[in-house]
Amino acid sequence: MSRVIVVTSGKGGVGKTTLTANLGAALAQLERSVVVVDADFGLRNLDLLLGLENRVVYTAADVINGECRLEQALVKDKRNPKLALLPAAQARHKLAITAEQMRGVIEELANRHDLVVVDCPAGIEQGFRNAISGATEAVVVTNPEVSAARDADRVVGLLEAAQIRPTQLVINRVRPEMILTGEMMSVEDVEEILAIPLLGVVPEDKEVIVSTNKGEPLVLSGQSHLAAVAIQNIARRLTGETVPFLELDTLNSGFLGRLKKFLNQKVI
Amino acid sequence: MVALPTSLPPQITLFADSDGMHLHLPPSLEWVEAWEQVRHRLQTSRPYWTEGTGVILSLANRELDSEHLQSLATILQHHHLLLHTVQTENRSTAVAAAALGYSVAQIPASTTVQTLEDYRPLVLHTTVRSGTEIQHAGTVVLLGDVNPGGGVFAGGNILIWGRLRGIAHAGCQGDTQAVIMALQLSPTQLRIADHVARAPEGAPPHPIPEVAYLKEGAICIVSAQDFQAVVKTLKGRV
Repeated sequence: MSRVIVVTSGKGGVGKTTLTANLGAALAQLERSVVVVDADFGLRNLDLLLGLENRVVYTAADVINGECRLEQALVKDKRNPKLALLPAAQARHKLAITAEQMRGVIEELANRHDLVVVDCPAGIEQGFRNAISGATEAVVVTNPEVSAARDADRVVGLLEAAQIRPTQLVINRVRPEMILTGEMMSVEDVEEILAIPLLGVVPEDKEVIVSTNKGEPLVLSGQSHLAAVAIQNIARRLTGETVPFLELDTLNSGFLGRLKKFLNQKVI
Repeated sequence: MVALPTSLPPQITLFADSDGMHLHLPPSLEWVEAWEQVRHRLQTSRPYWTEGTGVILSLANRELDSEHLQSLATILQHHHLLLHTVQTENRSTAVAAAALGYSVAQIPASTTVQTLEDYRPLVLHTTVRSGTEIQHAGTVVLLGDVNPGGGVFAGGNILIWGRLRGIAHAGCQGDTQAVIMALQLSPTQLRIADHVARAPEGAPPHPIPEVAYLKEGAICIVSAQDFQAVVKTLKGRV
């Protein structure tokens, strides 16, 4: 069976769905056949971000209830032939589906594709348990904020208990200038608390909002936005490549920032 | 003074003696909770047993069906432990265990309750994450951090070879002599016996190992280096 990666966070609004959409697109660009699964039943968004909303006919719930075959529910991305989406049901409630049913669908997908990326709903209730039920590994997304880090810590504990390994960390919406002034938790602060391997750091970028509204993943825009490069690097690391981390602080704040960082290192 | 819970919920016990390993599931503990505890304990104990060490499972009057017995045997085997004997007073548990081929010892409750064993130090290698609580009637030794939102509740002392950022409650059954030690003491809250203290605002720039103890009704903190001097002034109180 191939790899099933669940993208989860505990807290809502940290960028799970955005990361899943972009990661799926980036992995497909690396010539892997990828299915992204929206496990957020009742609050589906992944189809919007991928710009596939108007092509959804059947959903995962229809597959589970035997109303259609799995291939019928899969929406292929025309821009990116290696990428497909399994949409979540919008009308149904999260509790309508059990973890076993979800695992069945995900295993079937895993047999036919290189990678399955599951977008987990916020929270740690039934929807979370369904989303992780078929996963072989996890990516925990968090923001450099106390509340997001706290929830991520809880989720890492739950993933450990469910024996999902490896669990890797993505720190999203990082603002280097705020870290430099000490107004935001640094990457090291978050890493120190969560104590799991760091998979990537994605800077805050207003282009993400633009691309979300357009329904076009940032990594497909053809322009090298910093956030897109960061996500492409995450995709490459997931496929086993060693890619150095972006030097966010020096890229964004120029010479002055570099000087400040240098001084900080010397003083502390 | 805040009223604190002074009794701990029942805990599973896992310990070794000359007969091998003993796993005790207190009958008052719900199966789901007992199972979680067994799993967590095995996952967080660095194996101090040799491969294939035998296990005696004592259940008192708990009723366990063969499916549950089998899942216990499987998880023990996963950690290189071999279940061979089931001690029980419950007739149907004894039948189930015998059917699965384990030796059965049907002994009365008085000899299966290991009250003393409950107070053996508990050594764990893990990060205590948000939402996780470690509860133990004796002393807890933790090799790892306690993150914010996590907690350690011990009847005895708490020794943390790592950072304490969550809650630590030593002497939670009333022992006012219990102490809390950590390589970095920056807790959400410290509790000793029925006393509560918050950590001072703002983390120290260079954390040093510290010890918290109770003196005249207040929780005091001293660097680990100076703790010996404190012990002397307290005249062997700790």
